[in-house]
Amino acid sequence: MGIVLFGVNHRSAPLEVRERLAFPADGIQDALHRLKGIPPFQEGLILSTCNRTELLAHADGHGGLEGAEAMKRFLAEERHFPVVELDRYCYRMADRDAVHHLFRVTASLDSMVLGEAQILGQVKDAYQAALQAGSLGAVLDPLLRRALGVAKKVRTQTGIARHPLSVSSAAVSLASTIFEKLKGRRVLLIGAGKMGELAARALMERGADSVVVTNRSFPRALELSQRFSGKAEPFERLLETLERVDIVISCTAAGEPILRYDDVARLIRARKNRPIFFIDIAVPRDIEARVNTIDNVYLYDLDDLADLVSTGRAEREAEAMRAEEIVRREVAVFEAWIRNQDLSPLISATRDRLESLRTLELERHRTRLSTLTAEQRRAVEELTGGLMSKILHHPIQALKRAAQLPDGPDRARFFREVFGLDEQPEDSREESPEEPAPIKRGEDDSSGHT
Amino acid sequence: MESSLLLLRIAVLLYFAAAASAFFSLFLKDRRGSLMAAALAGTGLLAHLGYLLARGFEVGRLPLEEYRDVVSVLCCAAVAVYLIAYLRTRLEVLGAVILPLVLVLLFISDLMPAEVVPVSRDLERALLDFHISIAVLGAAALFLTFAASVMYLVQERRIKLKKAGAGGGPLPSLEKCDSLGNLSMMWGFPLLTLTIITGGVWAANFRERPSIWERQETFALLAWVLLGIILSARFFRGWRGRKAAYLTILAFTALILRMIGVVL
Repeated sequence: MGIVLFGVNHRSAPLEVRERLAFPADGIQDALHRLKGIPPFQEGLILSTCNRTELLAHADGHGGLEGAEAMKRFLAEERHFPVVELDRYCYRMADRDAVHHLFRVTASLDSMVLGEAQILGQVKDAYQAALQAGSLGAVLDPLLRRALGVAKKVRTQTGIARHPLSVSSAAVSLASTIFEKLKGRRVLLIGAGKMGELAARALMERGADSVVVTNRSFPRALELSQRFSGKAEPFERLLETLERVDIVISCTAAGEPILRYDDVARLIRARKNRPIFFIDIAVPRDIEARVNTIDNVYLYDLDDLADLVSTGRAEREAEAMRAEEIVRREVAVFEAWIRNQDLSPLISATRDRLESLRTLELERHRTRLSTLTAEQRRAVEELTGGLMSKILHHPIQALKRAAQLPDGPDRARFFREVFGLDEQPEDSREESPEEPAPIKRGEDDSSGHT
Repeated sequence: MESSLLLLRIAVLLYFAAAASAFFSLFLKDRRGSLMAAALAGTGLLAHLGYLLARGFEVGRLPLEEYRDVVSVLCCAAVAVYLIAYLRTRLEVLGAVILPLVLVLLFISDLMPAEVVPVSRDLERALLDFHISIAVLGAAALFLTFAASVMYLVQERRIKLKKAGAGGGPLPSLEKCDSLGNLSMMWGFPLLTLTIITGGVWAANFRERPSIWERQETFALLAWVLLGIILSARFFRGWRGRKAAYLTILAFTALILRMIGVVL
């Protein structure tokens, strides 16, 4: 395949190293031009995020260590990083491993936060940048498109991105089991706790209409409400305010519950049973737990949310297993595709070889054939051409089948040997001896190409 | 007779496959299952319509004479309502709630005796046909109300027991269940009212002994009263939620008991 990947990520390198190796967004285009210019690479891609810097390249017939060394030097030069130190932080992969790694990264299986959505956008950006720089070709372009497709498949077919991983996202996901849309819903934030603010912000981001803030200290409420460009209400009017909101986040430092069963029972009557969702993230709790037994009232406290987060994490990990399975299958599919692609130079070389033999033979017998009529000469042309195709048909079919087997490269070598493709042809018009061996995987560096 | 029955068998088989597919989709969290369920149910519906058409030719009129035909028409309408609601809302759970019920009803209708309601006059026949038709339509709409109530109760329980939220699951939000139930009841209730009025008119004019109050009719009236209470309490007091869902299910059960003519 000749695909090489070289890079660092949040597991292999500390932040100080990652920030030094990261490419600035406006410098990627130039860097891609330089990467593509380095022999033996024909294609290149740079993925640079806060958690990883990865270089991906394709070099026909070259793989493994050789390409990775060139990449290491390139990265060190680009980012002014000592080459010798890079070895401590970097990983290198070739061919199937590189494809597997890229698919995992794009599907967010290699992310610090499993299943996070950002990486997909970052890979898309890297792909766009490489497209603009013209550094993608017959291998990396389909590879990147496949990677994005696999990521989408993983997100839709597994629950890896579905389960909440933070108190805020748990609150959002709960709110959407009660309310069909958050749009049009009003949020009341009681108290000035940081976590409450985060949760309110998360609800706003998902479409909640407005945030009303209340606090024992009215100036603080006013200050906080400005940050949400919302309204502040005096704490004394809490019960009236509650009639007009749908989601309540309570996060005060009060030592006693501020909302009791009877208050809420009265409230729900005043609301004509319109459902209300309380998120109590204060410790000690702001709302009596018994409130949850009232119809149309839903109460979640910090422990409930924390439970959701830990099940969310476990669920994501379980879903990640399914995602890995999808990735493995897709790697195999891509590998099969690329092996078929890899064959085309070999097949055309074989055809060229036989074609040159045919013309050579015809040339040799030119004087003896000169007595033939034009009609007869055409018949000889057709006959020899047809014979050649017939002879080649079965070997090529067998070659294609063999390419999908583990020992495909060996069989391809045997094929080359049988047809004498690596020998110096008697007539050197057609082939140069430097024709690279197209069937080679990264693992077999023994194939003797220099 | 033979070929029309074959069509019904095919329809039942397809409904069965659709229900299985809906459950498959529910438990394996695979969206394709619910699409498959809708496709199978749609094909089943065509076969079912074919059967009813053949049956109509056989008796030379609307196939609403025997009880079991009426139930068959009801199931047909319920599947149609499910398909429309599924296409409009993409609620994957609907099939898993409505289709099994349809299968049970079809099975019961198969066990029913081929009992024909004796009818003497043309006017009476026309009134009865109208009565049964709107009864079937109303009941079909209430299938959806029933499904919405079941989904509401399950989802509400999950939220109260703090089991919801992680990943959302296949159930719609409470608000969606509520509005779906309300919308379908708005269709079902007026039709049911009209059914009861036409039924009363028929009984008063054509029944041999108009004074007899059949027990089956109690069920229809019970359903009507319950639905009326639910609707007006909702309208005037904003009454909704768990208890309303329980009452709705009770009302629907009463109505189905009336439709299949089980006399307790």
